[in-house]
Amino acid sequence: MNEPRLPAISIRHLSHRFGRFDVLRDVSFDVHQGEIFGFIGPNGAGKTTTIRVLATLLEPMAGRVKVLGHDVTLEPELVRKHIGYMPDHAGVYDRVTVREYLEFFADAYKVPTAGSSYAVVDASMELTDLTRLSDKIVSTMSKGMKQRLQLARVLLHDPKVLILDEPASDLDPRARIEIRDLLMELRAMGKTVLLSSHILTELADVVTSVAIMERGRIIVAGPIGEISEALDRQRRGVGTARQPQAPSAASPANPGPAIDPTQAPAPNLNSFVPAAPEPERVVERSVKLRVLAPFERVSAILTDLPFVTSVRLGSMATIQVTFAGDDRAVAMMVRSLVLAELSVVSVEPERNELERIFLEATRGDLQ
Amino acid sequence: MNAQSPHPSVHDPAPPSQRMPGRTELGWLQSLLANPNAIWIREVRQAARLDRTPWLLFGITLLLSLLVASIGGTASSSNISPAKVGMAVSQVFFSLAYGVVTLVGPAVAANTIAAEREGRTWEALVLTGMTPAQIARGKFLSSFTTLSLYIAAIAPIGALSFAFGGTTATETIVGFILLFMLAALWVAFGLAMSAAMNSLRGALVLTLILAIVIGPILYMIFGPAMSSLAHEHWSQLPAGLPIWLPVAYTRANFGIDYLILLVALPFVVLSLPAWFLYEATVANLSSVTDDRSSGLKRWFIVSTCAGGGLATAIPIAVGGGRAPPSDPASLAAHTGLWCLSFFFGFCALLFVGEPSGPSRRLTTQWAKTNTSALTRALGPGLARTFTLVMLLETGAFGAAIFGGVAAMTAFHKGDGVLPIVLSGATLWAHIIFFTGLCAWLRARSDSPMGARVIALAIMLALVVVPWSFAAVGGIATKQDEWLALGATNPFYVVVILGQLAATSPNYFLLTAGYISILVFGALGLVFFALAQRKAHSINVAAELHYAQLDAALAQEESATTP
Repeated sequence: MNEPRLPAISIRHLSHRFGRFDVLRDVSFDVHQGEIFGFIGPNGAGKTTTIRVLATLLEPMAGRVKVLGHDVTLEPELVRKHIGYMPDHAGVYDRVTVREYLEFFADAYKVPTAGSSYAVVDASMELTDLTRLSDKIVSTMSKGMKQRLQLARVLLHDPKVLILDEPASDLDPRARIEIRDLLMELRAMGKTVLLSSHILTELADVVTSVAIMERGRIIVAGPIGEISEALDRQRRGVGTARQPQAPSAASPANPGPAIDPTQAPAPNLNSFVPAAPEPERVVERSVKLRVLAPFERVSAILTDLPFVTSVRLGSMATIQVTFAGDDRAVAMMVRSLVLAELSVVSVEPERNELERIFLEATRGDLQ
Repeated sequence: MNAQSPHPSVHDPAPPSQRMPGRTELGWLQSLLANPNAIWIREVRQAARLDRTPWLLFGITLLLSLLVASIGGTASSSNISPAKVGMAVSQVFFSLAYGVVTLVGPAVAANTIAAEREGRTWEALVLTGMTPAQIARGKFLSSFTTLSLYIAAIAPIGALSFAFGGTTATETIVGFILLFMLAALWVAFGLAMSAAMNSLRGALVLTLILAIVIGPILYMIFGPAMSSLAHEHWSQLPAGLPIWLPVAYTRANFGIDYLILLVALPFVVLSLPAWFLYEATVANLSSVTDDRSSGLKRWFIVSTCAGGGLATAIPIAVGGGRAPPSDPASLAAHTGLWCLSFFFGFCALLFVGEPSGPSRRLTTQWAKTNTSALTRALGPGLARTFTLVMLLETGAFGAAIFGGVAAMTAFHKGDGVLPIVLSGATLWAHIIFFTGLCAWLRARSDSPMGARVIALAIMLALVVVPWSFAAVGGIATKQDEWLALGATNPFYVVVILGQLAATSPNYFLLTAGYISILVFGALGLVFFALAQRKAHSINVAAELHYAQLDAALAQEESATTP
């Protein structure tokens, strides 16, 4: 029988305070190996503090944090060998070229090199598409390129866990897309990536699991699909009897999304009481359709459907349809349009899944 | 990854560097040459690309050349002999070079660590696994290299003195060696300041202000003032020269006094402060739960031995000459005791930074690596640190008193022994009191800085307040007995020495001095015992807390593990 793999990151009952201010309050969650884990929360939620604890830069006041089984407080040297940390707004050295910058860190990390050849520097530059800029002075580079350089730096010593704090903040759309593609590539290499951001669109396409943090607490953590299902169940009022356990959030024994019972987000995710025989509540949702037909014709077909509550013209020639139901209702709408010999170009949820989860799980309170 | 191949990572850590094969087999020099400090290389490279460096070098060299040449030209046009002009030119050059080193060295060094912090590159550097000591060495080497460049650029101006004579090549070379040693000291000072501050601007301004204030004071003390003392001992040395040590090396008579005063003393005065600044830098770069104590304690042990040794040897080396208490041996013995007092007072305040015990991280590491008892004893911990400080204080004072007594016995048949013993005992008692007080305040306070301020305030109050009452009472009643109030003050030594020298001593004042020795010595030990007890209870509570936390986490883990 295979031994269960160690979580790449395991955080249990982490608390920290600055002065009298509790920045982290009993934070617990796991990040499994090979995941791209989105760490989401409004500014000031405690994401960076958690990340600094993970990166061994800040010692927690309470709790236990492990990276690949190594305690960040007791074995920081070992943890540092396994992590690559890219801080938010990291600085670069003046008057050094890209190659010199990376060679310096290769030497500092004591990574293997053959003689004067820095193969690992070449490989990192190639991976991050910096080879053509190897002789450029780093301080003259654009923000996007500097972010790439930071990524190249954290990859030099072959870390298994990458901790990236707001990696795409202040980047233009192209640079964001490039960073996102790079993250996918890193995941394919078997890296575990913990990615913090408050920009949800930045994370939506890449993350496999998320933890949502607010006011120093984890509100919900786990794989996106499971959190989404839990929210749907809760919305319908047919919650199961599962009572989440805060400390073992998304742990191997409790792989579902964990919800902090002490935090009361809106809607209340903790109202999972044993299923009572009450009628199923239907949830109202919206989708955006692109159909190659006049709006009036599409509207006429869709308003005939009993679950559609409104049809209106949206931006960019889309049609916004509000309906009460789930994915089956969407399928019926598409079927009705196709049966009417209309060409359906696209169907998109009005918000992506992550945005929906975030909005429903948080109250939007800032600290 | 790896970055070079798309294979998933394995769990083993990266293999050892192939670029540095058998690093442990290399000696430190080979290792330094084969694998130079990465920070040093990077910063030298950065400095070489700085456009303003050549202009600065050129400007300073030009200014110094013009200044020295104009002084030489003016002097040579007068009736002064060429040899004297040469000596003056040499003195001016080295004095100006000292000024350059005093200003440029700290400024360059203050720029380094604070700039990393402010430029947000510090975290990346720390996470590479470079130790604080490696970072400090890299920063030191890069700053020292830059400063050496300045010294090398102005060096040819020093050769101008040869055109006039009056100074030898050996003196000039020794002058440059001392200049480089001073440069190392000033760089270490700048680094220590930089390591203690987060703001680049703050580090630069404070470092420069301190350098501008301290530099001239040290110049006057170790220059003209020491030169006069050296002239008293070796009459062939000119008095009042600011740069007298290179001259002394070539002109003083060789003997035990030469070795102690011209070799050992300058070496200790230059190297021990530099070492302290280095250890302070490393400690400030380390996390609070790391071992920030061992380096400072090693420095303290060596410094105490060196200081105690010199305080013992110097009275014997300088010999008699006049009748005590104004003979050189007696003066040297008293000076040595006072120097030890200030040194130990400083160290007591320094070690107020000690935590109550070693961190959990450190005890885990010690257990894993089977760390020796000696290494653990040098590690963090209030009780063990202040035990060491008190033992070494007692040992050093004992040795210094012994040196003074031996010198008095040898040169004056025991005359002047009692003042030295009483002076030593009074200073020892006050230092033991101050050390115990510092330990107790630290044990009761979360903030080392708060404990330091309170300790200094108490000491200041003990020095000033009773002394003021004594002065007022003495003036009002014209009775000397009021002076006994000042026995709370270490400077009461002066009263004791005065009474001992008097033909009819006031025994009331002497008795007050003896009582103060006993009371302050005992109070110091009581404070120390209380501090030890408090630190022990803090450590026990912390251990209990961690044990409970471990048990709770283990219980939770076993409950959630399938």
